[in-house]
Amino acid sequence: MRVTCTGIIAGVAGLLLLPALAGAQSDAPRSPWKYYPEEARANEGPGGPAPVRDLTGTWLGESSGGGVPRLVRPESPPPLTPLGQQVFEQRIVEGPGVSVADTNDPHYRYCDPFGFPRNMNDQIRSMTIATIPDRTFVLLKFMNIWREIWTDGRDLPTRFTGRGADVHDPTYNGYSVGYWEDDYTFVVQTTGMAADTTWATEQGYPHSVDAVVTERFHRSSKNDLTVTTTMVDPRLYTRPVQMGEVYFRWSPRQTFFDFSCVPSTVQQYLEEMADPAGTGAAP
Amino acid sequence: MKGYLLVAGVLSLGLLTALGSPTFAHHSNAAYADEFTEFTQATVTRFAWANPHSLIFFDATDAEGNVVNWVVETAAPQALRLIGWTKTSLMPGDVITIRAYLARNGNPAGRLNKITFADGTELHDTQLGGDEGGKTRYDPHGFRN
Repeated sequence: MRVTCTGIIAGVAGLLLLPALAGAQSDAPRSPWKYYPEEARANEGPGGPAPVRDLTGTWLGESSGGGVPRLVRPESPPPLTPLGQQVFEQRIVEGPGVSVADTNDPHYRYCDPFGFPRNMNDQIRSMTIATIPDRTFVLLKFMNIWREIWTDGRDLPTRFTGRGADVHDPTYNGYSVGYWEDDYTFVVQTTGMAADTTWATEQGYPHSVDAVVTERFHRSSKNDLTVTTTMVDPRLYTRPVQMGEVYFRWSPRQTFFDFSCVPSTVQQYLEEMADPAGTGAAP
Repeated sequence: MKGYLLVAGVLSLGLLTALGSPTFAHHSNAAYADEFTEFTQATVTRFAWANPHSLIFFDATDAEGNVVNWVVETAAPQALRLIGWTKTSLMPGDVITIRAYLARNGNPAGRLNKITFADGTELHDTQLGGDEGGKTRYDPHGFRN
């Protein structure tokens, strides 16, 4: 009997001590420079009402691993013009049945930048939005990209081809302007995206330099942000294209570790790994 | 494949789950078999902690006594950090047990399932690191979306 009582007391004491031990573990010094899994987890629930005209902060996307819903992919099939179809058919898209060794995706093969709009619909890992008085910056973790969105009321440029002092150079992320449509919806329009080596989507949809892309950043709660995108590009599409919806969850403590693509490293990866691994075909 | 300890992974609904869940995925795994193969007494020759995928090179002896150098890919460093990997998780000379989904074309290449060290500790792939086999994900923190 005495042994039994001692065992019970020891067991109860152990149970009482467990939380203390766990607390001691959680009180262990934490480096602010380390990456802790809980900091890459999406907040639960809406977290309260969305702040007015404020997207500032760090956000988790679907490929962050943080538990964010999957995006809605661009409409398929795309409503292509004959020229758009011709460009589209030249693209060998990596995916089921087509490996990295098969694709001619310039990002996978050469580390070329995604460019906009693909960098807002593919590899959506994490995003930071930062605002200064005349601009909003969108910082993307995948490939360490920043987009500059002017909010000073200027118009979009219109000339990217031909001769003349008013012709603008196409850029990978194009030229962007933004305004608040209401207290919770920030609208961004972008044009002038370099089109020679970029795809608009991972599915290989084309875009021209004159495409105009409209994004609606709608913050429905403190924790929820949805970006809905459409593209108008009459040379390549017969009507505006629905480019899908991308979801983000606010996650203020996450850390952006480097995710650049180094051309020499990707060439090594292709030579040593992806190309030898092949296409999925039997020998 | 012949000569190595072949452990049949389970081709199951897990495969569908893996294909439908792109978290952390940089590209698809069409090149790799649906069942994993296990190598025991594999010796690490190089570990490349790099984007877009970290690479593990190791020597394994086949049934004919030939030493073959294999390469197995896993996730990018930023994803591996979240599940316990570091740049020095593997060092040349480490002797490990390694499971991988091998290239269908027969080349000595594959995608990692998991590594087991002599002391029993494990390191998993994110995308195909599930213990169930069948190309299931590894998700210790409940991050699945």
